[in-house]
Amino acid sequence: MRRLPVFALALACAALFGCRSDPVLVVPATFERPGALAFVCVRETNAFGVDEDDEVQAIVPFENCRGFPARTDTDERIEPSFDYVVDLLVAQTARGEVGTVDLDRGAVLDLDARVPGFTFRRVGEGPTAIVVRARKPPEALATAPVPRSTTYVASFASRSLAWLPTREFNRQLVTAGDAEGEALLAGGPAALALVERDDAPEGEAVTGFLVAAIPEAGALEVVPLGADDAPLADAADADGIQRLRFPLPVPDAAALEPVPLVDALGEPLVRTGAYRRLCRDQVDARDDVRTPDAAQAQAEAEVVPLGATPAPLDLEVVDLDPGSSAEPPRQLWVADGVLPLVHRYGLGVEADGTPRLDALPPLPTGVPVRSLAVSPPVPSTIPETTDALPEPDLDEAALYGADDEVVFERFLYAIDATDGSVLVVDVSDPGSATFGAVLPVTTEEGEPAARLALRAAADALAVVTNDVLVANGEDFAGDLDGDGDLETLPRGTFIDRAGAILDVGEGSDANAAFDLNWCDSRLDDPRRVGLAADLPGPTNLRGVFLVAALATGELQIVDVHDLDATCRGSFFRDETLRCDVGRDDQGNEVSERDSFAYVARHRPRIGGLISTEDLNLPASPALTLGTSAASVNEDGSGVLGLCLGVVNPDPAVEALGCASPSAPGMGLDPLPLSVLSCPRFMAPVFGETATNTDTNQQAVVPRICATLSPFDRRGETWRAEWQGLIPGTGGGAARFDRPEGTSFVDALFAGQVVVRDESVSHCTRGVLGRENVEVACAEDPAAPECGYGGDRLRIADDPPTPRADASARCEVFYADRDGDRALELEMNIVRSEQGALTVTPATGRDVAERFAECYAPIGEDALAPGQLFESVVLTGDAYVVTGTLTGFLHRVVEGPGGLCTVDLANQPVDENDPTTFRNGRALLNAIYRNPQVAFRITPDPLGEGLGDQSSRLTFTLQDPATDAFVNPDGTAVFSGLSYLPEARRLYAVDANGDRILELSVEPFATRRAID
Amino acid sequence: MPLAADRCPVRCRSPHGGALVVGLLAMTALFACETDGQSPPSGQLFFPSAMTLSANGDVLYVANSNFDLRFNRGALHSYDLTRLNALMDACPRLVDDPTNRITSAGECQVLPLELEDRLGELRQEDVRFEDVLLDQVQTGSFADGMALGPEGRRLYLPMRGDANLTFVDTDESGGLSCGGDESADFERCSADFARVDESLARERDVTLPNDPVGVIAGPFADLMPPGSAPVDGAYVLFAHRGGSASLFVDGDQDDRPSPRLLATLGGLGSLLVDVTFDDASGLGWLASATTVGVARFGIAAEVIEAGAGGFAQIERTQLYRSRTLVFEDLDTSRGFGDVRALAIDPRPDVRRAYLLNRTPNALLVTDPEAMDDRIRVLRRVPVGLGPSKLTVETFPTEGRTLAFVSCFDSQDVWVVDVDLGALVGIVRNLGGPFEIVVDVPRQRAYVLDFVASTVRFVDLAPMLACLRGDLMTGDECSPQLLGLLGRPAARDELN
Repeated sequence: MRRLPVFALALACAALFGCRSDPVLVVPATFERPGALAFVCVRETNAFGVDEDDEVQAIVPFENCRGFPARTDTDERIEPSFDYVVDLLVAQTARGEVGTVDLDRGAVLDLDARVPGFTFRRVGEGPTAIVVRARKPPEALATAPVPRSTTYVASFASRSLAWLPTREFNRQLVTAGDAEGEALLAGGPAALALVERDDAPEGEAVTGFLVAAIPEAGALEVVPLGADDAPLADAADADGIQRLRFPLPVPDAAALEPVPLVDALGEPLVRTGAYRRLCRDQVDARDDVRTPDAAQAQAEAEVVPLGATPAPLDLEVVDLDPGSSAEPPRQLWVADGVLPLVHRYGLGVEADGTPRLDALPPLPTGVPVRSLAVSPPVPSTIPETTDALPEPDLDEAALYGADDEVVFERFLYAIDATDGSVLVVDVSDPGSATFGAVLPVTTEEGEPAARLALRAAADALAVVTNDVLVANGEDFAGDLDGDGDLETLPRGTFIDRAGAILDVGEGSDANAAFDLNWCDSRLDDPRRVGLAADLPGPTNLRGVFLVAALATGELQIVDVHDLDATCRGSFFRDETLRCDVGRDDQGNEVSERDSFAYVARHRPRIGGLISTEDLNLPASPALTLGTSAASVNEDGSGVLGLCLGVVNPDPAVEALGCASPSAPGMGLDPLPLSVLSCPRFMAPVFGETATNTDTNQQAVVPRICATLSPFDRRGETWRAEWQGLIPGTGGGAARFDRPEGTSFVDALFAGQVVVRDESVSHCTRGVLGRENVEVACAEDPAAPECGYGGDRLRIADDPPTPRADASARCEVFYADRDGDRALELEMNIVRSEQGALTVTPATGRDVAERFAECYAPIGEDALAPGQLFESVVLTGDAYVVTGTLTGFLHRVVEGPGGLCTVDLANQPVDENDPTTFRNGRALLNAIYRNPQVAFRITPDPLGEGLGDQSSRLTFTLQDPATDAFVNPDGTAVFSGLSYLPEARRLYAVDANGDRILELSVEPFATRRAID
Repeated sequence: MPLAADRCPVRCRSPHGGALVVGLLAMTALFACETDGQSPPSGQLFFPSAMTLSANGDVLYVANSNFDLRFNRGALHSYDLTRLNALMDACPRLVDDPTNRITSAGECQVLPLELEDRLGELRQEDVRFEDVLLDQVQTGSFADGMALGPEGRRLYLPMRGDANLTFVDTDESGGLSCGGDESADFERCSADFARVDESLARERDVTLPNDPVGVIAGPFADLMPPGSAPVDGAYVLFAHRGGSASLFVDGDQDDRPSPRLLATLGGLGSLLVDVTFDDASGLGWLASATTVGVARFGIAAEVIEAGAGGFAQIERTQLYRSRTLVFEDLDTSRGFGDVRALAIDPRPDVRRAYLLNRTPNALLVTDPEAMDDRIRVLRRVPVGLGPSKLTVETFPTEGRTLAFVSCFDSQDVWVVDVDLGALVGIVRNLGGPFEIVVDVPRQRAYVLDFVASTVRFVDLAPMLACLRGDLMTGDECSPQLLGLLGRPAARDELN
């Protein structure tokens, strides 16, 4: 009891001073957990002939806001005379309100200035979706009253749909009151879509309809709208409105099978080709990179439902090209968070105007998805360059060529509900055999082959289309040829803001849409004066891009169609300089390095130019052998006893050992070219330059090879350690099972000991015993695992007796400060099973006896049955190869009976495909390959005692590709992305920061935070 | 700040010497004063920090932390939950009755009769003194959690003030007993109930770390490998703030009344704040306020003759380090993690783990099955500021599993549908919400208000009615504050 006051005093002091130093300041937020967004076009002045004194502003159809002027970086309005502004409606999910932001002024509107803080319009608890309807007035513009506009808000917690005049969110109307109407839905709505009936006859009762996604009901609820924007009345309904319910169907298994990616002959189809290596006047298609393999992606396309009941989470109204197929041109696509598909419905009406949703074959995504985004049609390839800029020409034949060879593609992007990855679905042509196929877009190690290689899981998606208008056979609100009429543009036409036709795709005369003059002329575009856009570059987005809001709080860009591609790629503005020469026009070598842009569809956009030198090792590898350590020379020599051999399977090269193949007297003069070849899709990143004496050609002798594709390259350090620890195999609950009545030592030397540790998944971690390897190699003698004698198990634990009480004989088993022990019990693994290893001794009987004596429980003289130890697994006579990002690669799976098995059937090795080399053990003097690197550690006969010494190779690959992304200040949890093409602005909802981030796309950067 | 030394009954003369003399005398006073200081007041909540329900759901146990050291002890209270809820139910009706003096806007304040003598002057307000306190005992200070044993007969409290485990016996009627004078009005726990038996651990050179901050308990048989012979007793697991975990066994032997320390394991991170146990993997999970990940540990019981009929040697049970799960896909802009609470989905057919994170403020939905060495976050659900405690409960009638998150800084409780990641309700206007107990049968939630030293009673019925679709247009769906237990304390800012 006497100690209490002292303790209390200490604690009190800690409480007083500790807390005082860091008070929590809570500032009332403007927004509270912002969620859904919607844009409203507001007429600021009296463009419709309203009395000059009428201060009431008008909500007008959004097409009026096309061309909503962006502001410059100095916040000057580019077109000060523009009559319209855009308001942003923001759902406050924590308060059941919807707030409004004047995007022109960046001001949050307060509906009641008398109340401290911001007063917003109350709508319903947990608002999840907002839809704004602003239709044209039926009368002539000159005499029209202020057009009607209604806003519909779906609220999850209150299971409601509310509709109210949009003007109630605007600053001119401050009276808060009940919504114009409210109705209960069948459950909490997750999404809401508005389908307008532009073709409704005069006097038709149904002018459009709302579709609400109700996850818990597994259904869509459709609410027809009348001419006054209110839902049609129905006296029989509890809420007095008409509604239709469409339960989502549960398709049979056949409909969930992946759509095969095959051509007309049934051959596997590779949809994404080589990347492009770009310079200002040069497009260099590179195929020295492994392209995503459609067949492999299909094999991995396991159908993964999360349940049996549909759960609609997101809606997308999609307009297809009229006449391109027999399907309805306007469709509703529904993301299902449980079933592995995207539902499709054709949208239409019955003869009496009743909405119709006609079920169409779904898109079998293979996994449930929770968010959708659809690209516009884009040309199938990156444009080539020519020397001439074609004149804008609206003649369709001139645009497409006589044979209409333009090939356009369209993509659906969806977030995988199981892991947040993003998949890409081919939705180019409903009549195509590949319509609905999940495209293989990634080859990055460790990532699913059919997923975008994003930096993290995605929370929201948006398609950004800048300087692109994809006409769909409709009037374009502009007069391109100066004849006074609005133009009708053919399908897929790309134009920029100035009206210039930029690109119409592959195969036509007009395809030659770029030249260098045009690239430079961008700087003189009056529309861009004041913008930060400089030369075309990775942060200036012109074209079509996917932006993903990531869980890491970043916004990442994925290339879809970069209209600036052929203008990028060199810091030389003088077009006489070619990227691959590096000489000025006088023929002098320039000191700066050549730099290239790398672009590929559906690959993360690279945020900088890359030099060839960037792909080589930034520093020499290091070799250690015992206590000797040295940097490796380019000829592979380093420490006495080891070297880096040539990566080549030629027996003559193998016989060279550590000698260089180009050295005189090695019997390889002239140097055969085969010596200088890395495995396919790789190139040397370290080695000496050698000369073929016959041809006088120079080339690099490959000592270390690596993938050259910046998309596939991972910046990481590789480490190969002789008899090193296999990651993840440390276990704390290993126990020896042996036949009853036998001593531990006798059983061990009789091969009767099984080490069981349920805390380690040995197969999952890739542990192989001698027998496991033999089984695999009997089936495939060429497997990389062949020749390996199995892993080792080490007991890595202190004896139970406290060290102070230990005998001198047992002292060797206690770890020192570095965790090292003078003596350890090691065992060869004969057979590896999940949680159980059959072992034989790797050390002498004396060590085993000493172990049994020293590790006996306190007060006992022998190991106890069931006694627990810590253990680790090491490689046997092999290097364990690990990458700091990639880790330890293997293709070991749990087979029948729990036996660890090399997965020859599902993970076969393909000599031409580096990604199939999932092998984490490098044998001495054998070529080691994995998806990233290849090397060979070779013993030097001059070295002695190699087998008894630890040796290690370490080298670092750099990732020259910096992703183009934005990382706003502070921690962010993105709950939505909305792109406003009229303003070329992207709005990201940060629910954690209670703010809306406004981003420009030229450059792609945070412009301001609205909070 | 009233400290024990301030109330020294010995007359401590003021020194006229130098500072050294002053210091010496002060130290002498500190150590020489034979005083217990001011005892905790009977029936009064004072910085309550932990709470749990009895096995039958009729008793609410509340541990008072004595955070400001105003008193010389903490206290454990047991309350009649049936009666309290009946009072809360009646309260709105009383408010509506113009003849009744209860005038608050529907929020009822109930105080135990034990406080009537001291606080009787409050009677004219909207306060009711009722016989709701079933029992109370004096414990140590700084209780940082509470767990009920598997048979519902013993409570385990990690007591930071004692750097040890306090255990209190209880029964279905809420009686509390901890080795003190049971005839006293306010029993004081004996020292034997404020420490564990460390004799076994000492043999193995194992000592109990200090600063216990989280506790869970369950049948020891749950730790045994499948097929092994049944064992008696309960296990108790502690997390220690400095990065350790401890395992105790209790009730396995009749002649050992105290829990026995079996094993400890260090090196599990720093600034630990919570512990939970994942039955499926057999691993303990630890939340840390600094680590970008979740440290885990395993519990291995030695079993003789593994398999059917094998029996465990409980005394040789060990803790071992399992792989720390590192966050993937999370914005940790500040460079470190800050997980404040953990929960495993209570449904047997759903494998999910929930992590309450502060950077950013979000409930993280993760898939334990998909975890290798990384936590793949399936969904991030934003919550209020300063999320502190997490409770996940399934409501069978509504077919929903809901997470209740107390947000200390924004002073509210957020309710999230974990399957849809959707916010379904917020309880606002709470002073300093901390621990939450959800009473599924009564459709109530009880929220410890640490700052105001009260327990808030929250009616979940409106929210659950909305989730069932049993509502009319315009109905409010948010949970409603019914009333509070205890007298709200007007505290200075805790800074």
